[in-house]
Amino acid sequence: MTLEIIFMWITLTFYVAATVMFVFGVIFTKDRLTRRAVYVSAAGLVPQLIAISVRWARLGHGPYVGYYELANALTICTVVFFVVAARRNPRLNATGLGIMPVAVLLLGAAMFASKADFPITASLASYWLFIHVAFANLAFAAFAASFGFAIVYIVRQRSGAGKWAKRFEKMPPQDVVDDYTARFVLAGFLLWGIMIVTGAIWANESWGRYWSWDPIETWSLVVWLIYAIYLHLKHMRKWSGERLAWFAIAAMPIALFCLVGIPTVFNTIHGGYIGGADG
Amino acid sequence: MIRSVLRRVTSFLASAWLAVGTLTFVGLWGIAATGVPQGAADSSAVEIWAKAHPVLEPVVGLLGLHQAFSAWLFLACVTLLGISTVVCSWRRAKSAYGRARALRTAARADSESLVEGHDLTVALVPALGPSDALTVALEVFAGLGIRAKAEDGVLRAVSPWWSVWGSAVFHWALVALMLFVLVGNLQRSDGLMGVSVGETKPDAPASYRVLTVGPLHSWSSVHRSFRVEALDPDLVVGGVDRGAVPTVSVLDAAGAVVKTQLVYPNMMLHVGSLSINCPAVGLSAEIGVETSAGVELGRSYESIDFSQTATDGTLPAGMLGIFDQSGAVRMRIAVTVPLDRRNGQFREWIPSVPRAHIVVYDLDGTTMLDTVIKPGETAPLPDGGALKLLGIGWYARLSIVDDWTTPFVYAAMIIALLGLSISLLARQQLVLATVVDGPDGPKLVLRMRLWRNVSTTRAEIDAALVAALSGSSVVSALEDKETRS
Repeated sequence: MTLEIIFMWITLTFYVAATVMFVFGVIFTKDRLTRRAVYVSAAGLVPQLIAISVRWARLGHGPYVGYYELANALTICTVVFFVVAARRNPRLNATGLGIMPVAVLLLGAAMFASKADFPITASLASYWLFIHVAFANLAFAAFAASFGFAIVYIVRQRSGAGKWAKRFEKMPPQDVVDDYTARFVLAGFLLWGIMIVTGAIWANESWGRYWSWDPIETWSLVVWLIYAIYLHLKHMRKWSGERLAWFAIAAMPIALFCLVGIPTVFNTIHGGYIGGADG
Repeated sequence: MIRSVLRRVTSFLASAWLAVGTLTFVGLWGIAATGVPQGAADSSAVEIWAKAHPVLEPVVGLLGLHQAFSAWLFLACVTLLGISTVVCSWRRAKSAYGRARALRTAARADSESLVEGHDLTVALVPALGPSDALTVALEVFAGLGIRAKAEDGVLRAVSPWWSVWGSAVFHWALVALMLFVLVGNLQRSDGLMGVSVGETKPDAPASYRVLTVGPLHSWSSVHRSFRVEALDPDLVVGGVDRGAVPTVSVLDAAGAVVKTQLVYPNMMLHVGSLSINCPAVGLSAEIGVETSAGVELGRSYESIDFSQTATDGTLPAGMLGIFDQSGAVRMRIAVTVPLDRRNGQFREWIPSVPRAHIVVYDLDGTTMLDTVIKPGETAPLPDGGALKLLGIGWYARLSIVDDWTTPFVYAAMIIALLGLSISLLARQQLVLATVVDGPDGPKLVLRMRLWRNVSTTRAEIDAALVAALSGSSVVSALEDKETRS
């Protein structure tokens, strides 16, 4: 087992521990435990960044190619988004209950996936790679954050004045949680849009066409349209609350599927970024 | 009557449900399209799928899902979405114009104009002076996340005029994007052209192996040609293996070189509206056609593609036609190159002993000649004349796109994102407050418009100001202050 893998297992341990702490902290209304879970989440970033840096130094490129690297980048962005939000507003700590399991699942799957060293191929060798992938990661992190807020919203709403409402009583009021969900959706919508645009420009430079209805391109547009529908419902139809929260919960897995599922299910010219072949 | 109908149509086109409906349809259509192979009905992938899904195929075929993104249903829906976006954009622009005017007016509003056009009044505790009241209000605003400034007795928190244009700009840019994509599809040419090293081919339909041309594309204004100067079969640049890389030149009508460069992924050749990419390379056999007496009648470069499943390891990219004196084809010739083998695979490279495998067919497809020749050797044609192999080299399969709309598509996308960023980030608010004396005593008058990305609500501001300026806590605080002084 290499140093990189050891650090990655340590990271996963931190994230699993943080998730468990969030679960117990919320269920038993232990604020201190929830607060510490945020620190544990942040601490997990340290070995993960070390592991990724070691890999980066060894391969000469960042975490862009293959599911293992992709999941790592998505996890880092998601956890950083959550930790920054929680540090800025400690009342949001409990949303870790919805966000950290996503990080655990992503990284856990990555630990059992191939960790082969994929080189940067001719098609990928461009500064657009960093820009395009960075915005994909940031967009996903924003969608994951909206997912976490929406889960908290639903749980509280369903509980009424019951146990779960009390467990989340330190959180901001429901309308604020609803607003946070929408803000992260809007942020993700913008970032995903930038991802699509940078991808289109890069595709034209690399393949000679900015749009070819490849499965990844089509699904990226589908995800963008889904969140566009969310925003239309919120701003034009004045939807809010539980209906919109369910929408945010349902949309995030589609974004995740687009990023990591499509290249494995469909034959796509983008397959190179997940399988390491020349895309 | 007409106006009423027009209003209803406009209202329908601008409705959120139409937008949501069309967006949903496009999304679902995209998902369905990725589930079935895309291509013409006679393409092998479509035929295989159709055989495997006999129940679904009639429905899929009827809907046109095998060519999903040019199907009439999809295009009709996108057109409706486009029209809806135009109507929405117009409405948003009107709304933004009104708001921008309100913001400009508010930026220079004084106490008197504010009194005339206020929409909220908070009675003050009589003992509270105007400047104290404004200071308290300023603190209340700050507590609610509104950064106001005090100028000439007026508290002002007014967003810049451009802050309200984000959504309108975003939607108009989407309209522009759709238009440029549409125009691009109507006028562009997009094709694959095989050009051998040393060969020059004109930019004309006959030079392309595969060509898609929009109905508005005009060849009459195209006077240029392409030449492949050289080809490095294994180029490494910046530590990355770029594969086989040709050096491509674009020549003008007079044959002068306009631009020359290496062409590989992420390094396209751009000249004006023209973009040249090289997705693949293959081998090329230079063939001379001779009379029986050995007089050369003409030369041709035959493009040959690599194929691990073919007998020789190569397949002809096209057939060479031999014509009679009336111009009719009298036979067709397929040229391949037998490749070397390494580890059970064909080595996709010029073989150590270059040879051309020549098969001549008559018009019925019957083989008339099947022979292998080396450079310099000739193969006699069945009804007189001969083919001479002049050499084996490389050819580049160039992907050539002529589309002047691409930079405009980029611009529309970038402007859309800028509009979206403003819509997401810029606070859209107008808060003005001043203190006036009235018959009922002093009061704080406010004009408020909280449109988007605001930190609070009108009710919250109202409640906080009432609590801070006219509540019992204010009275006791003032009494404490007087007692202390």
